[in-house]
Amino acid sequence: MINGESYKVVVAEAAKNALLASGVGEIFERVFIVGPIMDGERCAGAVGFSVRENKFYVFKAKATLVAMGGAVHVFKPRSSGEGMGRAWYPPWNSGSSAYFTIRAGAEMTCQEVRFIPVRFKDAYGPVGAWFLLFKSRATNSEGGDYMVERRPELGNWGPYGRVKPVPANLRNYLGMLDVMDGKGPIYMRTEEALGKIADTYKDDPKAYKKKMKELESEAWEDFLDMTISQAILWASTNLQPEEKGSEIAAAEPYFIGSHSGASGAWVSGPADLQTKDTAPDYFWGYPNMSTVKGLFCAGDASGASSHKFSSGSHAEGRIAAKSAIKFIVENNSLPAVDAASIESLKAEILRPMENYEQHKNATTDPEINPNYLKPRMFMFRLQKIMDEYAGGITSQFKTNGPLLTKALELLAFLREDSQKLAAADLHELMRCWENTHRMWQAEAHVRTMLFREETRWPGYYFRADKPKLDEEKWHVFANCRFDPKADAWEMRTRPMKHVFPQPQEHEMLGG
Amino acid sequence: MPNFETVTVETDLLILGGGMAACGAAVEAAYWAKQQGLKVTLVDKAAVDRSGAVAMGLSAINQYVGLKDGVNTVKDYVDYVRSDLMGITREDLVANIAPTWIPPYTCSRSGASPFGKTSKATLCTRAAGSS
Repeated sequence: MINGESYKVVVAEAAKNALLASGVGEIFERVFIVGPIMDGERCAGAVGFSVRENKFYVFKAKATLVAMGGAVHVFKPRSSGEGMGRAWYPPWNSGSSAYFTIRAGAEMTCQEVRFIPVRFKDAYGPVGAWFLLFKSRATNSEGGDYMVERRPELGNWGPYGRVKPVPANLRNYLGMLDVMDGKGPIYMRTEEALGKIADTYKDDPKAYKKKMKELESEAWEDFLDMTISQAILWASTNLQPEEKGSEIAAAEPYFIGSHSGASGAWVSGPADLQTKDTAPDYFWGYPNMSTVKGLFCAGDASGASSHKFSSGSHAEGRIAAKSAIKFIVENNSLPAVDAASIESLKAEILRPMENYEQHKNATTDPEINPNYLKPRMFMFRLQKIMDEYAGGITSQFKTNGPLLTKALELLAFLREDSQKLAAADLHELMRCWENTHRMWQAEAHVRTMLFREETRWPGYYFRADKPKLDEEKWHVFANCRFDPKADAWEMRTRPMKHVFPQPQEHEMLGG
Repeated sequence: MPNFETVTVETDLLILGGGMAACGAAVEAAYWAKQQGLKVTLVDKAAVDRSGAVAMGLSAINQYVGLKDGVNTVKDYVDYVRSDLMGITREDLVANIAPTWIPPYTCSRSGASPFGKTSKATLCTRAAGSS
């Protein structure tokens, strides 16, 4: 069984018991949250709908904690026909956190910092065990190891090219340079790595056989515990890891506040970790509260605090919840929500069903209609824009100012057409809103890549018109905010300040 | 078009999501909400048992800092994260989360009361019981 599948149930049980057994809480499942409701500048809760019954939900709250994950399928995935939807990040995380915070008017950070993991190609099996446990190399079609042959390239990326371990995006970049030079495929040399380990037992045939069996089991279990589809792909292509290597590739871009991504809301830090210097910029009363009063974020929803992974996200959820309770105690009034605005949100959220009902008889095929578009086609349009103009897989993660400007032009048309989304049932209604959420994540991403006039994360994206790191001007956060009243985006920088003394050059070299 | 009934729910804290962050939030919020007489509502688009990135296999509990065993310091960890993100990171946020990591229900920064002094020992007992 998948390890995460097993342990998530344990974590969920503790959460459910805490809420239900104590009598303080209630849980609504199968309710899709569309967006925020506001009382002026304060978040007043959320609206959404049941994906199983014809019910529109209004949740009025004194504080709201957003933890709805990051976003995948904003960019065209590698799996676009057979296996469509297969990605490294779970397909149900569709940018709901980003949409919620953006539409509430919260300041967002690191929206340009997408995450691209390198994984076994097409089934996204983890590479960590191979690189770290089995000490495997990855080589190009000519047998060259990009981590060795491309090493001088690291010198072009300031102090970050000299740290150990090499930053995730730079490791990606060295491999991408080989691919762009036409030296693919890149193979994880599983046969070489297993052979080397087994070699140490070559004088003892019995021990050798035992060791090989053990290694083979470990190799397969690594996938079966985490990414069963990779084991299926190996089995269906007759791949024996001890006999030949297996392709690895950079995945399509994802948006997550955890792992080696950083996108999310700009939130207050804790009071006690601030210095005199950082406090004015990083602290505004309640840890993990966004710039919107009463709106808290955790996990993939909060930005600039990477490498949280699963347990760190759990910890951050606890920190944010405690802070939110403090906020409630100190602001103990139910925000006022205007009934007319709720009715208008209800009409807007259900519009895709209205569009479908009104126009469904115009054609004989419900998928094709001159008056509406279905969420699936809408998603393809979004993914094409992002892939071709904003540095997706087919443009080898490269873009530039004019391409990004063109992307914004096309995204504006897409936003206009989002009014014509149509849903035949509740499931499609959810798909309509998931893809609208993705569209807003896309726009925040494009605008911030355009704003940051440098290339800082080659291997995630490369701005060909600004191909270098610019420490003097851009060693700062690039933040954005959507002003709901003006229907306009504002871009700004925030200073990068140190809570801990800055490491000296020799410390960075020492890793 | 079918008629949609409007269901209005009033609560104190609204937690949106059902993954690791939302589950951590639920555990912590329930404790303080009970003490303060508040209500907590969690809403998930699917089912909490299988929500989030972990349930589909992204179960990484990476980079155990090992503070207790003196393996690393919080600063070591912050330096690592900042460098991996090419120099751009909120050190205060990273440092705030780091010591709370593993196991999720032990003494932590999160254990201090937001309402004045509560003994850490009490909170640890509570936390151990809830896991």
